[in-house]
Amino acid sequence: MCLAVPGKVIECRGDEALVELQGNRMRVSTHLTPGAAIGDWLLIHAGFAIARLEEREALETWDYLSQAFDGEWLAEFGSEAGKRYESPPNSGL
Amino acid sequence: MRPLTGDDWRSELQDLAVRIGRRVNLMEVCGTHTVALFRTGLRDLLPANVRMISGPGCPVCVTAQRHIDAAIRLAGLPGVILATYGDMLRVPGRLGSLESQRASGATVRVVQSARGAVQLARDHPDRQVVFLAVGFETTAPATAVALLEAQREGLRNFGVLVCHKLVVPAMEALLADADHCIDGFLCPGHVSVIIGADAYRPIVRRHRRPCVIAGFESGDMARAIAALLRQVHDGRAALENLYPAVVSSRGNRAAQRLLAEVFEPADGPWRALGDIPRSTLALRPRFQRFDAMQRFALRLGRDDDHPACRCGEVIMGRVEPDACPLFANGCDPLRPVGPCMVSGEGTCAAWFKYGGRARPTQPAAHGATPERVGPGVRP
Ligand code: SF4
Repeated sequence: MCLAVPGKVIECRGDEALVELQGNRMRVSTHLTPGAAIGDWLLIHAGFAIARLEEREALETWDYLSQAFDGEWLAEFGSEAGKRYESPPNSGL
Repeated sequence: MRPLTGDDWRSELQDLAVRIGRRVNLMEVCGTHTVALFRTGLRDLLPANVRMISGPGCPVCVTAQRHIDAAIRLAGLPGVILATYGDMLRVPGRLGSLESQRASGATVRVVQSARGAVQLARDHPDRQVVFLAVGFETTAPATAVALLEAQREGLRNFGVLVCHKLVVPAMEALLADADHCIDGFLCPGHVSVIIGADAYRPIVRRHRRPCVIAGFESGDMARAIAALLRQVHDGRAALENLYPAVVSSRGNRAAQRLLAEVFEPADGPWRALGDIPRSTLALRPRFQRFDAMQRFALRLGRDDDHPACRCGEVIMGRVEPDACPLFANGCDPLRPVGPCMVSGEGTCAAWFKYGGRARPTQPAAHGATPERVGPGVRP
């Protein structure tokens, strides 16, 4: 459960960002990556961005994750994230 | 710097392994590495005398039974919603599992994030929400943020059962065992993002064991294993960071500040490893009102692990899963007896799913041998 996957920021508000993970959108906290901006790539774990990374690294990470894990973990990570992440009230995201 | 590909790294690994000429035991500390080593096939391509041991790096596997039992008891209290990461649902305790507790009427909700648990508390002001906070340094900052949020909003119905663990003290505890057989560590990628590469310096300095941080791509892991073998061959113990794209020397300072604000290190229990000094996180006094055990006046019980389950030895790298009499013979992913079989990242589950490579003998125990890792050590 220590897996972290890269996502690209498409919207930012306060300590939250909306990121895209291979077609899935997910709201994440940016408390640990202050200053994250639209277009940044973030490494995401348990609903939190834990680091910034370069696009090249992010794309390579997606590559090997989908190869080595048949997309299995990604599907779970992305779709569950989309379905089950409880969104904060009144967050305009 | 992308890694060598295909035959290049294989021949380099073979060459190093031949030159070392004895069994080498390398521990991958992180459960994600365990699975990645199997799934990429790398585990099977390693030279015969190089053995990867899965360490105590699966948060599910190392959560003490008494904590699982406490979570089950909390979930059974009237008015309580127990919020947990999905991985914990099926971990067997003495009193069943959270899943069985849910089947008998308890409210157990799966959340993807600690903040999801806070949201449950906001949404259900008439209920008490208890978050089962497991995980290593990668996951603990999220709990810290959740607690700060709950405190800021004055939430009175949010509590936490804190089971967070620290990776480096556990590695040190393994090395303190006179019988350990570890020649070097493949250090976890994502924990290191938070704690920083420098966190492993004590392992290198004090315990004279090579530490190499790597990502999860097969080439990255192969390069890291080659780096470890090179150090073993040269009798060196150094720290190498082969995942600099996301791991810095000092780690994620924002996360470290949050952890320090909310938690302090404390002695605590690991599944089958017993109490390890300063290896867990405890709430600082000003957050103790969120301590679920205090709030419900519960005390942690005692562990009562299945007598035949060898999870402890598996986690320490002393035996491989098939040495356990219950492996695939009473314990499997559908009916796990020990936690190593529950989590997809657990060593027993990975062996069950991907099949472990047969080994001629049990690992030979050998402690630190000063002549091997001698004065030439450059931490
Ligand atoms: S096979 Fe099952 S009982 Fe045996 S060590 Fe692994 S988890 Fe424990």
